[in-house]
Amino acid sequence: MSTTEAARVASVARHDRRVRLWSIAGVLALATGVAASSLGAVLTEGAWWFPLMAVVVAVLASGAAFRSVNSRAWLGSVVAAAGGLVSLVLMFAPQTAILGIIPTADTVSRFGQLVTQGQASIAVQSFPADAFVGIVFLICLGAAAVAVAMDVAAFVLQKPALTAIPLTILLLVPSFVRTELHDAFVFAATAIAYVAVLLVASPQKSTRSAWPLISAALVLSLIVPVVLPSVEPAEQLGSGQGLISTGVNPIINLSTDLRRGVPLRALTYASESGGEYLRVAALDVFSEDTWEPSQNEPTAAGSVTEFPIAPGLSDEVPREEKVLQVEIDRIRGKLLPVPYATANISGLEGDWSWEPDGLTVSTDDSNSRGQNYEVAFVSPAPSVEQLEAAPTTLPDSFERYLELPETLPSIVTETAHAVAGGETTRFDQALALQSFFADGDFTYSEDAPVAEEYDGSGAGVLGEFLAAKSGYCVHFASAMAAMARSLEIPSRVVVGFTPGERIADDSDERRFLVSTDNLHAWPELYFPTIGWIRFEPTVSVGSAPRFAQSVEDDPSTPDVDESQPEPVATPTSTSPATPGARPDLPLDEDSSAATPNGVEISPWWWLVLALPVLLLIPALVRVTRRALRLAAVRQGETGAAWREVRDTAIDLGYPVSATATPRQQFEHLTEHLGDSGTSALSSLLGQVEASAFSTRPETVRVGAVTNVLAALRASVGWRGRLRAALAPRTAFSPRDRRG
Amino acid sequence: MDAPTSGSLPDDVFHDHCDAIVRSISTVIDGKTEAVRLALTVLLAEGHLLIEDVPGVGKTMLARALARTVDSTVSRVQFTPDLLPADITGVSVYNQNTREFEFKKGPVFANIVIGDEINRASPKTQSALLECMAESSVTVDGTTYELESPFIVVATQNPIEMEGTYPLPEAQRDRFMARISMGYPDAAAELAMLRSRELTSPLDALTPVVSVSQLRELIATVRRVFVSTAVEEYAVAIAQATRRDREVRVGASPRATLHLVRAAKARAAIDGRDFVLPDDIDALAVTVLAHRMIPARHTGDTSALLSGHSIADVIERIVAEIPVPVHAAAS
Repeated sequence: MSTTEAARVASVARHDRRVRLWSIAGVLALATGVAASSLGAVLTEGAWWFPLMAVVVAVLASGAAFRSVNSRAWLGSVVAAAGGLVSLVLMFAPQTAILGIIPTADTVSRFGQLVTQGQASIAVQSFPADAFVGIVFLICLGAAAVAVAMDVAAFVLQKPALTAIPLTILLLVPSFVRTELHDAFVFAATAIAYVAVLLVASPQKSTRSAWPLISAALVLSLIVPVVLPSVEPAEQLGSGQGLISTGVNPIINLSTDLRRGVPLRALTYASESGGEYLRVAALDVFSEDTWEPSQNEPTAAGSVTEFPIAPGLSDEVPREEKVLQVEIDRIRGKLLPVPYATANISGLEGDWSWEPDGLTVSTDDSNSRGQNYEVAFVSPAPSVEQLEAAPTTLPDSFERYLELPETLPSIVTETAHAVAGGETTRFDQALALQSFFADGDFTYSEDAPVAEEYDGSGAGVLGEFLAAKSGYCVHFASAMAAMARSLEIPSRVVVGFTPGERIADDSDERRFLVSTDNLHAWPELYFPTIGWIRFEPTVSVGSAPRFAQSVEDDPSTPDVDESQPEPVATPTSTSPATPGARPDLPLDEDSSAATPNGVEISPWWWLVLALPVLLLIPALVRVTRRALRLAAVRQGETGAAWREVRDTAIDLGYPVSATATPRQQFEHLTEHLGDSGTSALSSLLGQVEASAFSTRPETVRVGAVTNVLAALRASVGWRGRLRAALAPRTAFSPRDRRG
Repeated sequence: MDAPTSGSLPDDVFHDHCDAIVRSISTVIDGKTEAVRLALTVLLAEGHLLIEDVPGVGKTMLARALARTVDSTVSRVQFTPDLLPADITGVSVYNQNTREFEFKKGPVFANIVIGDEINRASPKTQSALLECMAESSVTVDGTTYELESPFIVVATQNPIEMEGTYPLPEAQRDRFMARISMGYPDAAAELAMLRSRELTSPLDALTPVVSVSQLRELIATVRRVFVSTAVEEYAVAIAQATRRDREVRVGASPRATLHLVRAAKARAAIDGRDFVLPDDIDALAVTVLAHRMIPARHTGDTSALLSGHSIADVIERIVAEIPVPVHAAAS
């Protein structure tokens, strides 16, 4: 080889090496960027992604640039980390640094400030949070660390498979913030990017043996979104004011949304009749901690074009038929705000269904955001006489609306009896409870419960609320519902919106704007033959329906009957008094299927579920490798046969050196094999040697290989075989070297 | 490889000849079959053999027996400090009758040259052998004389440093294909030797079992042995590893790799194969490589390293570490 030729070869090799370096760095940056987009679930806008990518690219590019001139791998990672630091300085504190890039003590203190700002910003915001500079800095800092970890895994350790660790950490950040925040799409995209990393960055050119890892990654990416409840990613593009998330149980976020400094526009609706309360969720299970929706499955068969008659509403009760045109603005979730009692909805996108007891509307596969729909509803307008005359016998299935947790403080029951014990009818008792809250010495405060640590809706905090007499809608609604239950009046808590502000008054329609300030919770009480009636115990918020207002306190209110239009009989005049009587609406159907309001799985459960899968990966890799080798044997590659025999022997615990010659390995193994095994192995050895080292074309039958493998397995006990199957030593041994 | 197209022997004939040579030599060297086989391997691979061991274990006996079993020209040179290069290569003398300088061939002009105690000669004389061993030719007074084929040097030397010895230069050590040592015989073999040597020298009873032409045919057969790409890669990987090893200052030369593969071919042929196995390489690595390598930080005794490992240990470790490529032959 002449000198010039040698120089040319060396230069080509150098060029190849650089191309490989940069393509690995590129694919690592891609994977990090894709995984980082999972943060979209906790942040409102998409703009933070660009500085993040700038840092990631800075890290990986500095590492690659250094390595293309210097082959010391670990030093490359140091340079990569330095590159990340420089990019952070450039973006966040250029004025404190010498020449804009060399950090000084000022830079450090500026970074400290940014971290504090970021932490504070996270603490005060609800999720999805707005990405202020402090948060972006924290994200970029984290991204730099992840990128350096990727760089070390791929270049220093030469194990691109290990990049799964930083990528997984990045993916799981949203679930540590809040358990339900996962996005199946980001998982799948990250899995694909990871596969790309494996394909590009694997130390050897052969991609065949990367397939076991690839299949494992894809299997995991398919399992994870199934195991985790999926939630739509926050839509990052918009006016940047955040979203109202109805989440799994809207009462959980309610207080956070109420405390928003700047109210968010939730929806607008047009109504000919006036403002309406809009219901999002009906919570009927009362526990120590909170009110929750019961686990009834929404009736999927019931399309939203036809709702059942409101539970308990009898023909005698007058009612009004009304229509609302609703445009949802910034509410994100699986639940739809509708008035009570909805008769039909049109104009929705996606599959929506109603829940027969609460008449709430939900979806599995769609989203409330941006929906524009018309909802027709029947507003019951019973007379006070009808309400007072309501019978006291309850349908059997209504016992659950009377259940109280055992830990309910006795003050709740005592107060209920003290306030309403003297009233004769259930309705009068309810009115007494309402005025006890609304007209007594209770004050409205969103902050007092937080300051005094009795925030929440569960039984545990009611005693403190009744003593402090200060709280917000959740407390009032919860307390009144609990007290009603103690008086044998079925009750539930409803979360939704008060009617909102009127914004336009066209000739033929009145338009209302509903914002986060209108988020509200109120109790609904049930009266046989009348149905569920809304009450309004919260001080200075909203108003009870006229028929549910106490006449004593509001003598100016005209009689209910007179204020209402002529009652309109519903077409289905034979409607039963209880929902349970409708055979097509099974109320207590025992179904454990997850509903949108269903199971929450914490990351720890995820780990528990993923662990068996992770533990099976070595076995999976080994089995795949065996299958690939046997396939190679079929195509005439006899070396694969011997590699499989060798690895099987090593898996079974035989002290066979992977670097020994086939004949030396054979001599090791024959000591342990029986006669038939030895002869099978011996003939395989002959074929392998002849095929690999002589000019004679020898082919090996797959059957001959499997015979030898069987003989090897038979030579050890079942424990050895089990260990070889579940924890194969050669699962992650170096790749097969191929000619 | 460099396989000639003619002169190959049928398998059984080759085998018979090899058996005859081994049996013949074994009558004078008791219980040293492995050393005898190695010597034969080197002979058939057309390499030069260095036999190194303590005095009195039969080095010269092996060399002479090897030479005697082949019906060829044999010369023996006893190396001494005052031996001159011309004593090996030959001299030009003035012939008064023809009034011309006439070249008087030295002992090197033979098929098998036995160099006894080769490390006793001065470096100058030792280097005279260099050209002969590498080029199979001798240059005296500007004239080059080709040596007869086959040309094989079998040299013996004592490992113990003694007064008046000159260590063999690296360049010359590299020209020997293999270095073997005899080792002491076991008790039974030593006893048998005592009885058989009492009356006559057994060497006298040795008669040639193969002719020079037959030897050439044997060598040609060895040359036709197939070496797969996998085995070539394996040999190269071992050689490369010796150059990178921390315990080694000078690793195996490219000539060493060549010798290793050639010796492996001979070993394969003696084993009755027409292709080389990685096992041949493994078996010959120490014999072929050890004498050319120089350990790092050696203590004076070149075979022992500070770590207590000998060069042979290092080679064995390297051989065990290098994975054996098992993939289909290039054909």
